Amino acid sequence: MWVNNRINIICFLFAMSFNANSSTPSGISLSASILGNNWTGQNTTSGTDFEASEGKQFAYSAAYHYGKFFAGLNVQGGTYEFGAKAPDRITTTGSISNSNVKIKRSELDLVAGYFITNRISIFLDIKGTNNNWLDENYEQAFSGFGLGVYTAWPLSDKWSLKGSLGVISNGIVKVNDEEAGEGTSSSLDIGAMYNVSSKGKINFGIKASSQTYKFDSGQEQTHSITGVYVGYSHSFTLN
Amino acid sequence: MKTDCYEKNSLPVKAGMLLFGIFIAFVNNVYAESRGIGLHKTKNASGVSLQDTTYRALIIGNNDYRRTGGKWPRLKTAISDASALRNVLRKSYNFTDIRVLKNATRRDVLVELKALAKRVKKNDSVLVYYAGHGYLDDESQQGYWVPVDAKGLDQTTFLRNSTIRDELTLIASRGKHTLLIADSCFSGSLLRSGTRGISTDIGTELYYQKVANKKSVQIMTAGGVEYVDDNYKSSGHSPFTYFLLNELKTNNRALISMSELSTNVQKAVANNVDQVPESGVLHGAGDELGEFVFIKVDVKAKGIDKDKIKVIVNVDTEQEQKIQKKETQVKPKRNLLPLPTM
Repeated sequence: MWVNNRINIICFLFAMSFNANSSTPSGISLSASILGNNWTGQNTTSGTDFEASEGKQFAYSAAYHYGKFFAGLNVQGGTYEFGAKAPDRITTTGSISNSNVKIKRSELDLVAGYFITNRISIFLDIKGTNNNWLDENYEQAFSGFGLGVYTAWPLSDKWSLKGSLGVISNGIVKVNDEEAGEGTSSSLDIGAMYNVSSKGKINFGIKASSQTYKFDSGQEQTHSITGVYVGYSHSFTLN
Repeated sequence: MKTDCYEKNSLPVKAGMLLFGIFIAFVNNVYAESRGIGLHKTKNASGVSLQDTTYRALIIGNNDYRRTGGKWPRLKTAISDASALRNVLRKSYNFTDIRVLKNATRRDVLVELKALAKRVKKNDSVLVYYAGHGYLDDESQQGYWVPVDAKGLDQTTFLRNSTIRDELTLIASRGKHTLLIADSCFSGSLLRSGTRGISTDIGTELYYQKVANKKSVQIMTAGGVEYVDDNYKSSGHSPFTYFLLNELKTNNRALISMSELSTNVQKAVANNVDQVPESGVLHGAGDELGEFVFIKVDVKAKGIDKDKIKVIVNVDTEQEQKIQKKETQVKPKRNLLPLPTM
């Protein structure tokens, strides 16, 4: 139910953006990025750490901008390999330690935002994350509704700094599609953008995100994904 | 225009008038130089922005001289000249208040000039165009516009230059820029106060800022004190208006001053017909060496969409820099931003 309500809010923001004055500038931006990042974490209850030996993600997003409003979709994902230190498979009844596993991580973000000043916007994000243990019948899912702040700060005609900070304070954790607990998520993105043309820009930076899953069994697991990314964004002006 | 114009005592005077015209042109040039027109760089342009200007025009075209006792033959192109000018001013130069008088009587012209004077506001740019017969009294050197209800050579039924000048002076006193374009025989007789020189920085942004902020009362005429032609090469326009329209249509700059326009038109006309247009200021009407500046709103630029071209006029340097900084650094970048995620 709570997800439906939040989707309604996002849809409302979409509708607001479409109903605004027709002379308002609008455009679409499409982005693709590669994230070379590291996935670390902690199985709190068992007191063990884990760290992926290799992994990266690809991200694709599309955003619609209408004046001060923007809204869009981001999908990203990648496969990580863990050696001796791997995340436990935690369920409502207990946990199983792992080693030498591959986990496919995928993320989906449905975002709507509004620039409250020329440089600072606030945005809402309905986020879904899936951690799928390949070769194992185990899947963690996290979903939640968060609030974030996003800024882009021009340094010159070519260069801008950008950053975002977001928090999801009351997410839901599911295991194999069964609700198994609750969780929180936070992320910090600091980067820069370089305009290669009037419509294209390269962006790069560091992004760190952390999720904490608190299972109904009393166990806890944290996931931290930190790394660098580089991407290209292209914009199409509609009016 | 316009062949078959009358001139009292029109005996050997044509040659004399030509010499007189050359003399006047010489005197005018000296006069212009003596005015010491020079533009000096200032940090901030002051005064009204052209963006606040309303462009108004009264356009008069007289073809049908029917009850003039045969003294004033029907003209072929005056109305089509007027209509074509109206179209180009409306379409390309954002004139929003245009009145066109076709076959205007003396009263029609005076009523419309007075009505125009009432409508003019402080920052307005006003253009008055006349195409029709003209008349010059050789003895008094007094010029006239000939309305369609003129009675033969009865000068009391004409519109005297001094009357036109009075009406324009009133308009000029209320507006910012006033320009009279007269396409008639002896129209140069309105212009006995000298042409202006063109500044060395003509065409630059600073030039337009300077001249647009100063009051102007200018005149451009089809000829000096001479006969002018009708229906240039069967174009449906007089040679003067033909080249005037051509310049206005083919101009591909956002801003063009009356001096620039008249220079181009003068060259084009003089190169093609035996006629030399003149331009200058209306003496005693408050001209402050400003310029009537035409703003072309449908400027084309190769490789750039029409909608993307923005004409910024007469914004002081500091303000323009702020606008450019704001537009280039904030709005486009905001639209280009990739989507933030958590």
